[in-house]
Amino acid sequence: MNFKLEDRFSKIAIVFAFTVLAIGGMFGLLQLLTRTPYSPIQLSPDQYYLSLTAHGVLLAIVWTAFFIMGLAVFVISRELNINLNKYLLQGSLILSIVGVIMTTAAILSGTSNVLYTFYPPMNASALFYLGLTILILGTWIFAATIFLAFIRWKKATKSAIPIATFGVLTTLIIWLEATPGVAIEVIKDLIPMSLFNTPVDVLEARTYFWYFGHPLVYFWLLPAITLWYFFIPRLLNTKLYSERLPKVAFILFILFSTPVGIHHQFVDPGIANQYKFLQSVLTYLVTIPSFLTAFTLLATMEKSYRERGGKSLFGWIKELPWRDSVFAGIAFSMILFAFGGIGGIINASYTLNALVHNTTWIVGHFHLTVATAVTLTFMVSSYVLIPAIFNKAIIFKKLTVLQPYLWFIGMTIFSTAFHIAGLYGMPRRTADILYGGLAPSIWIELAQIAAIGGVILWVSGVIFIFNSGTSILKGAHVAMDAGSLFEKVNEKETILDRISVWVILAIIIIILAYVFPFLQIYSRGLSPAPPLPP
Amino acid sequence: MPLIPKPVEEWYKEFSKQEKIWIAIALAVAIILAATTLSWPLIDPKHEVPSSAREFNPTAYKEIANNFSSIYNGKLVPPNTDIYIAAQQYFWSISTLVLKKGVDYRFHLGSLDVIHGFTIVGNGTVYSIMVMPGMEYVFTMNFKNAGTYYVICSEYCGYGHGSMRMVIEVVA
Repeated sequence: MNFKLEDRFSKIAIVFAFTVLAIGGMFGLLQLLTRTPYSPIQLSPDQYYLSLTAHGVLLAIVWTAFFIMGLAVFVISRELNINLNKYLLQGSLILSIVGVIMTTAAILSGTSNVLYTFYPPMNASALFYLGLTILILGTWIFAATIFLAFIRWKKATKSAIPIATFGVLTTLIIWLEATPGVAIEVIKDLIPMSLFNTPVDVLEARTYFWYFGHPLVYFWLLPAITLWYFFIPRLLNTKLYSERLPKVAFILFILFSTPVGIHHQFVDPGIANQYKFLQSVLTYLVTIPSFLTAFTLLATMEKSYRERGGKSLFGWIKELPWRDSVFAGIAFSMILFAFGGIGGIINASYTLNALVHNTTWIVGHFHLTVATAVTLTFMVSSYVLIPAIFNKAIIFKKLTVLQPYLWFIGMTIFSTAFHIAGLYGMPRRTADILYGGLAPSIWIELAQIAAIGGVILWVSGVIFIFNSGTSILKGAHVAMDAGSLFEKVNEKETILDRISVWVILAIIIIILAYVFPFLQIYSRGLSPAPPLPP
Repeated sequence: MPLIPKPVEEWYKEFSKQEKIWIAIALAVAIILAATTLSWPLIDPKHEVPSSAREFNPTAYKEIANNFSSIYNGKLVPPNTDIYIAAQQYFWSISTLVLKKGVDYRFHLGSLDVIHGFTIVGNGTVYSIMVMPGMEYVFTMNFKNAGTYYVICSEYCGYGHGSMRMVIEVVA
């Protein structure tokens, strides 16, 4: 079978993702330096908020979404050995790229400094919202492309879904569960606000945004977990401890990743306590699949050691291939994700949230999840995907080992400093943390430590972009049969493979969790506020 | 194609003993987390999350908040007096609030333009809630320690966001 078309899609999507990562990462460093008092580089407030908007939109949405699209096409076409619809695939890519260019142009022009949460009634240029809408439309067509091909495969084979495909499908299902929220917000409220100055009810818009904003986290995370399930057994020359438990974990993500958005709104007025509490509990249920994932992966690591005759209780940790860049990167991702998860439990714990809400604790937290568990996994996976998809060898092999170690060290420093600073009340999203001299000195010290971590992260990012960029352009040709990475399984399907059952159940849970908050919001009567520029 | 395949394969029997133990542990952790979260505000209602919102008229509220500020700015607010604060790009309607230690005060917070964040920092305390246009947030606070607290805006509200601050002096 010929995968030229699919591979071309993946190549464009991944190169686009790398470009966006390079730009977005640069902004991140500038922000950290600006937030560090007495550093030589200081952005003015309008530049800082432009940078913060670009950093958030480009990295949290564009970098992740494009890498995931490239990965999804690769996994689905090779693991299921099927071709995708050419026109849908091209159409989705063109729409997505056009959308991103529009939004990016709006941000860089300085007319849309509304950050990546774009809370109304703060107003951005219409181009910003229209670009986002087109990007979402593009991703929906992309998801349709994948599902059409999958349904065709399913009808023909009637076999169990292989694990990597299962992960990709789960990712897209969560994206489709989540994005209607932000689509409604943008189309119903924000585009009219931007074009016609229509007032917007802030609580309603925020609730739609966070309906999307939290499952977005799992949209990032599930491809990373899929890559963990994919690489760990292959790197250790064994099989996954079990293929059933990972599927159960993925299904739990389908069920519980969406009806949790209100845990971002615990200190919003106008949402009753019992609805806030319900979504707090639902958030705890999402910890279960993370626990199951950790078990399967660690058990796989230990299993490979025992298979090789290892006897010592913890000897398997030392025997792991720590000098392998892909393994090291994934292991660091998992370690930091564990801390990210514990921090997440604190954020979601209803009363405790008021302590950390809107402080740098939150920034420290999600840089462990999206900026490490997800981003570092995508980075090190590229060291295999570049030979597999681009047929190019990595040029600087030693740099691939150094890079994840630097990221791990840099992120540990940055994130720890930001977590602690958050407990001292240092706010996020502020260009100048001195507050005219009333800032406690510990804020300044922690900001300086965080900046050191940021510089190390940036060096790691530059090494990554340089190495993968030169390898894609100038690497020696390698003839790698990417299909051989996947093994052919032909198991009988079980209830776990009936994804439609789980999606219906998920929709029921989402309705139960959200119908009452929305009833409360609408029955109270909306009180729209007129738009204002930042 | 039936929704649930028949006969339903007993896929769950394939879990190993270790996996079953681990599932039980994960479930127990989730239940314990939910139970502690619920019990905290039940044991002491002071820890309950504030949610109460009132109808809000920006013009009328601005006047109430300005009135409050003109009477009490820099002066001790007597117990049983409601506190009205309005947020606006880029200042709070009152610059120095003086409160008595250990007294329950009812706060009213509202925004006259965009979203703001009301974050209290000082004397080991960090507490944040949202200030939104279109709604009046009502909640009770009791300061256990005397001293100087700062209120800074913690939600991005525009280019001057970083300069938006006020002081709360708590006296014994």
